[in-house]
Amino acid sequence: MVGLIGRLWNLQYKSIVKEASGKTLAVTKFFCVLHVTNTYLCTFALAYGPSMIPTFNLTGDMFLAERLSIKFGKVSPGDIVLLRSPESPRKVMVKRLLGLESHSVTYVVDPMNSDRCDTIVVPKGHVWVEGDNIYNSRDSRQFGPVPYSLIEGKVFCKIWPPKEFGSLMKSGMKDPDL
Amino acid sequence: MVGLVGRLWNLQYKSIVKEASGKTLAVAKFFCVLHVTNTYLCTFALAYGPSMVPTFNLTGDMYLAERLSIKFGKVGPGDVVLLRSPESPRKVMVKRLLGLESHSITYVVDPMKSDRCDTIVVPKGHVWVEGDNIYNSRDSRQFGPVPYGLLEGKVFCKVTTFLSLAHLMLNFDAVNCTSSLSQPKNKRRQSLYNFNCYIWIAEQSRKAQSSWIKIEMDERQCKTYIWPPKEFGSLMKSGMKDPDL
Repeated sequence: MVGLIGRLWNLQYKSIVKEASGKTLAVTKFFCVLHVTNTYLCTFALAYGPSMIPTFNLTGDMFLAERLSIKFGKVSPGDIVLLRSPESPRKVMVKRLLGLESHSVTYVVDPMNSDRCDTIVVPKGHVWVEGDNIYNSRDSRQFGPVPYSLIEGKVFCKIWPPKEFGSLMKSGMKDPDL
Repeated sequence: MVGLVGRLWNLQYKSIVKEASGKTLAVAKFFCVLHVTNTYLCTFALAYGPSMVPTFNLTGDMYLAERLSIKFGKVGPGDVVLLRSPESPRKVMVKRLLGLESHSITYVVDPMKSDRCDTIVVPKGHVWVEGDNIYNSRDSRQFGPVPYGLLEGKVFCKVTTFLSLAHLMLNFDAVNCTSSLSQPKNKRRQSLYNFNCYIWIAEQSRKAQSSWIKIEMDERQCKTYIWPPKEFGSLMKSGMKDPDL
C-alpha cells in the first residue's frame, strides 16, 4: 500500500520536473535568441540628458540602434551613434559622429565663454563625436577623439514618445562638413 | 494513381525537411551556447609577435582568456590582458597592464635610443598597457592610455593544442621563416633551439642593435622552432615586468 502510494508520488514528481525543465529550456532558448539579436542586429536604448537637445529630449527618449553598420564600418559623419564612454566604462552615451579618422574637424572650444574655434585631425582608428547641444555636452571636445571600437551602435529610429516616432534623418542640426 | 504517388512523394519530402531542420536547429543551439560561453566566460586567443617576448613566443601561442574579471573590474597591474587596438579596430592585441586610472606610471620612452624616463598619471577610465619586450612593442608609450572599454579579456593560462601547431605552420609566413615543421629526432636539441632563440633575441634587444627584420632572418636558422609543451601552465603575475616600475 505504501509502496503503491510512493510509486504514484514518484510518477507525479517526475512529470512535474520534466515539464518544468522543458519550459525552462524553452524560455532559455528564447532569451538566447533575443540576446543574439540584441548584440548583433538591433537594440533598444533610452537616452536622457541635455547633450542632444533638440534631437532628443531632456527627460528621455527611446530609440532603436543597429549594430551591423558598425561592424562593417559603414558609419559616416552626421550619424548618431551609441558609444561607450572613455571616462566611465560602464556608461553608454549617445552623440553625433562628426569625423572619422584622418578627417579635419573644426569645433568651438567653449561656446559659453567665447567663439574661439580649433581644428584637429582625427588620428587613425579614432572618431570625433559631439553632442547636438554644444553648450551642455561632454564629448570629444573634452575627452578627445574616441577609438572606433568604443562605438556600439548607430541610431536609426526614434520610437518614444509616440508623436516623435520616425527615422532620424542625417540632416540634423550640425553641418557635417563644418 | 498519380494522386497516390504524389501523396507518397510529399510524405517523403516532408520527413526529410523535418529531419534536416531539426538537425540544423540542434547545431544552431550548440553554436549559440558556444558563442555565449566565448563572449561572457572564457575564450581562446592566439598571440604572435615580438612584443611580449619572453613571456609569449614570437611565432605564436594559444591562450585562454577569461572575460568575467574585466566585466567586474577585477584586473590589476601585472595582469596580461587582451585588448582591442585603439589604432586598428579590427585587431586584438595582448599586452601587460601596468596601471589603472589615477596611477602614476614611469616608463622608458625609447629604450633603443636612450634611457630617458617619463612619468604620466593615467586619466580616469583609462589603463596603461605595455609589452614585456619594450624594445619592440607598440603600446601605450606610442598611443597613450587606452580606455577601459577596449579591454576584452584577461589571459590566465597557456595551452598546447594541435590547433596552435596548425597556426604555427600558418604563421611561419608572418615571420618570413621557411623551415618545415618536422619533429626533431632529439627533443632535447629542439628545446635548446628555442632556448637559444630566446636568449639571442633578448641579448640583441639589450644591445639595442636588432630590428624586426634581423630577427626574421635569423629565425631561419632555428629550423625546428616548435613551441615546447613544457611551458604549459598558468601565467604567474610576477612576469618580467615589475608592475610598480
